[in-house]
Formats: sequence, C-alpha cells, structure tokens
Amino acid sequence: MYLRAYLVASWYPFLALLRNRSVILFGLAFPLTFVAIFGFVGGGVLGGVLGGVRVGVIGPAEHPLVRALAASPGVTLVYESPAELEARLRLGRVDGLVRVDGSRVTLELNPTNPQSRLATLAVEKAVAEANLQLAGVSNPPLSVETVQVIGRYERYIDFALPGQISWALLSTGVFSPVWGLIGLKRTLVLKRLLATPVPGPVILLGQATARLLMGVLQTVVILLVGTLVFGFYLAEGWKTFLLMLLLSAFGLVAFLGVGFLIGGYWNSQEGAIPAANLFVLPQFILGGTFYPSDVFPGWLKVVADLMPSTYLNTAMRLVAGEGAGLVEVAPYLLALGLWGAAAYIVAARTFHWY
Amino acid sequence: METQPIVEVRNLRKHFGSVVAVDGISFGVRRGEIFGILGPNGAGKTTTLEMIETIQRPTAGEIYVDGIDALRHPDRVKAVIGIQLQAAGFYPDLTLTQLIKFFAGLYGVPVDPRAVLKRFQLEDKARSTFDKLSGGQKQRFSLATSLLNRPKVIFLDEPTTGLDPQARRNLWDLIREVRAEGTTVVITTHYMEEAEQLCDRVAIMDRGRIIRLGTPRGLIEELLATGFRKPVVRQEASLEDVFIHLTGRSLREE
Repeated sequence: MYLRAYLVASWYPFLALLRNRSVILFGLAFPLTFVAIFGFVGGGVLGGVLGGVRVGVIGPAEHPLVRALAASPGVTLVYESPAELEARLRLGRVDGLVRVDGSRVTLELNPTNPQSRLATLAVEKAVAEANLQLAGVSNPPLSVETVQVIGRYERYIDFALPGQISWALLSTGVFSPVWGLIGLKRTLVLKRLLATPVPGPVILLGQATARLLMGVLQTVVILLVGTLVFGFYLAEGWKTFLLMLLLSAFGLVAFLGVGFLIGGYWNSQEGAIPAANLFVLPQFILGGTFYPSDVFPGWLKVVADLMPSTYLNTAMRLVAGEGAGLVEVAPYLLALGLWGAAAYIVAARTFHWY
Repeated sequence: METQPIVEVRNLRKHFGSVVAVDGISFGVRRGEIFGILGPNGAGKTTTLEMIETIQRPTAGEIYVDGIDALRHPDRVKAVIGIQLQAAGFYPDLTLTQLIKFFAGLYGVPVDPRAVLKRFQLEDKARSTFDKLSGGQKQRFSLATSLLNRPKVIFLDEPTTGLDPQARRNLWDLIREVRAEGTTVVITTHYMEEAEQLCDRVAIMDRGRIIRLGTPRGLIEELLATGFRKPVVRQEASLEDVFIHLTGRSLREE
C-alpha cells in the first residue's frame, strides 16, 4: 500500500547521503586509505622476503662455494670490506657472513635476525653442491625434487580488509543515523515528513534503507579495490563476493538498531555523540578491526569477543579466507542478530520524533 | 456542505506536564477565507496549528478538517492539508528539484517541478540546495511545497518573520493568489499590519486562550466603541510606506 511512498522515502535520503561529506569521508575515504596502507605495507614486507637472503662474502669470487652461492635463487651476495660487513651483520643488514679461505669456510650469524636461518640453509646447500662438484659427482645418489601445492600465504591485507569493511559499516550504521536523525529533528525535516500522509514507520524504514544501500555500496567499493588492486583473497571468487555483501547487509542492519536507538532517544548532538562514541570506539580498538582478540589478556578478550563487530569480522574472515558458507557462520550471525534485536527493542520504546 | 467550516475546533486543550499551552479553545475557519491567528510568542499559536495538522495529539477536545475527524483519521486529514513549518523543514543536501519530487512522491501526486518553481519565481534555483536560498526564497519554496498535493486548506506558521518589506509584500501577493484559486489559508503572525492587510478574520490568542475573534475592521470598531482614541495625530503615511516608495516593490535577492 505504501510501497511507492517507501521507495521515495528511501531513494531521496540515499541521494542526500551521497552528497554528505562525513558519510563519504568516514564510510569510504578512511577505510580505503587504510586498505591502501595495509596493501602497500604488506607488499613491502613480502617484497623484502622475496628479495631474498643477503650474504656477505669475504674471499675470492671464483671460489667454487662462492660461485655455487651466487647461482642459488633468492641469495644476494654483498662484497664489502671485512669491517663494513661485520658491522652490517650486527645491524641485520646482511643475514650471514661467509669467510672463504681455501677449504676452510666460516659462516657468521646474528641470531637476533630471523633471516639468519635462511642464510644457513642457503650456505649449507651451496657447500653440498660445491662438494659434489669438487668430487666430480654429476649424478648424486640422493636428490630432492620440490613439488608445489596450491595454497596461500595469509597476508595482513587479508586480515585487515574485513576489519575495514566493518568499520565502514559501523560508521554508516551508527554515526550516520545519529547525526542524520538529530539533524532532521533540528531542521524540522522529520516533522515536515510526518506532516505528509506517509506513516512515521515508513519514513524511518526509508531512512534505514538509504543507509543499507549506502553500506552495501561501501562494501562493494572496498572489496573491489581490495581485490583488484591489492589482491585481497576471496576463497570462492564471486560467490564469496556476494556472500560478503550479504554479511555486510546483515551487519549494517544490526548496527542501525544502535544508531536509531541513540539518534532516536537524544534530540541534540551533545548527548548523542558521546553515546555513539562509547559504542563505536571500543569496537574500533577491540572489535577485531586491526588485530585479532587473541592478543588481549583474558578478561579483555572476553569483552572483545562479545562485541558485535567481532562477530561480523570473524564471520567475514571465515567466509573470505576459508570459503565458509552461511551455515558455518550462522552462530556469529545469530549473536550479531541478538545485539541488533536488543537495540531495536530499546529504540522502539525510547524513540522521540522531536 | 459549503456552509460547514473547513476547520472546526472544539474545546481544544494541550498540556505539557504542568504547563497549559492551549487552554480549551473553540473556533471555526470558513471555506475560502484567510484566517489569522495572532498573539505574542508563547501564546499557543504553533501548538494549535500542529494539533490541527495532526503532528501533535491534543490532551482533550475535537478537531474536524473538511468534515474529517482529525483524531480518528489523521492520514485522511494530512492528504487534504498543506503545511509550512516555522523554520526549514527541508533536507539541506538535496536540490529544489529533488525536494519537490521527494514530497510529490510522498503525497503520491504527479508534479512538474519546473512549473512549480516557475510559478514561485524560483526557476533559476532548480539546482541549488535549500540552505543556499535567501529568506524570501525559502518561504516561497516552502509555500510551493505546501501546495503540491492540491490541499483544500494550508497552514502557514509565521511565514513572513525576518523578511524585508519587499519580500513580505511579494509573499502576501502569492498568498492572495492561492486563496483566489479556492484554497483556504490559516496563517499565524505577530505583525498586526500584516493581519490587517491580509486576513478576512483573525483570532487573538494569549496564554493559551482565544480572547477575541472577528474581522480586523470589526475588532477596531469594537475597540473604538469603548471610547478608545489614539493619543497621536493620525498619520497620512507610515515609515514603511516611505521605504516602499523609495526602494520600490520589486524583490531584492542575493
């Protein structure tokens, strides 16, 4: 009966959201910036690992061991004066230092450098090869054949991107209706809308739908940028993409309950903004946005694990990273749904139209 | 049917806690008239309007708009009335064209935004947002949106407050046009000159009660009949007449 009015009451507030600077800033620009930072930083660290092991060499370049080392993939040889190389070893700028003097080979390591193990492996392998070569063995009795499995290495972007999505959704689900509803009350827009024959609940449903459209749009943009630019891992491709959209719509609806509770109860920003921050900021820090709750001491981990954004983040990470389906993440969605239901029940009892 | 008042209010009361905002008022508005509600700030004018507009619920009393019981059928009343609130009431981020489409959609009526804007001299503001308009433009736009659903009666709450004399006269002309097309107008104001120029009948409110109701001329005669005389010599013209004579009647905006 009110379908047309509902569509109108959703579409124009959505257009207003698209023109709203703070929605675009907190809901899109900030999360995308973090995605980019984590994307580039992750790439940089990985690049350092792929750049290989740096081994300092003191001795002749034509020595069989040095030639074998130089031919090893992933090993970079560094020639400098002995004093310089020793200094670099202590600073971790070379991962190992090889002294070659005839048949005597010394490997010096700095055990605080995690790369030193790789340097040991590289040198031992080169020694074995050089020994075989010196012994004239071209067909050794034992050899290793390496087989590669299809797998993945979880990079930080794979952990961080779902956190950025849920942060964007928290911003659009909580701050946007809090600012929005109070703004609409103060500028009498809500009163003017109530003076039309469209019932109040339809007007509010339109406000909620506008935020839902906005939230799904944000998730689409963050996922597309994360996947296409920074190689964010989606376990089952477009199916995972759609499932992520579904999860974010569900999360947004739950967060909106809190937004409507706060924006409906207060008529001015003075009370509402601290209340919204009290709900959002702890989740920003503890709710699995940047790091898993495992890093917290016991009691704090219990608190962190009960937060709605933790449930959403866990569900999204399972879906994106491990290809989990709706059934596997149902417990998290249920917990998130309980948060949302509680918020809507309180909101319905405490809502002020003006 | 035509003799039945378009708005009828009986023993209307509104209490906010222990504060009595409207204290048992009764009046009727005739079809096709411009009816003024006058009174100092806090007299209960806006509360009275908002109860008739079905935005606020009365503590007691009855309201009929076009024969419809406003307490039982607020939705049907909302469909036949137009509303201009005292301030703003429009999305700050949408253009005038979008706002007109938005409200037309909520009322479920087809509307040509360009024709509406043209009628109210706002055609060159089609792509501006509401908060970029001047005071007079805002009130004209607000009047325009109150008419989108072709209402039988419109309620204007202090529409000329804060406008310069040119913009005020321009709005009076538009309100007279609206009335000439058959729409009843209920207006609140605290400018007595405006009430005298514009209104067919006025109700004077104070402390939640209607203390006088009649035509402006009739109320003046009534006062004179008590022996009241102004202690000053009657002026042939007012300072406002001088102002309009010197600066002209045409609108100044931006």
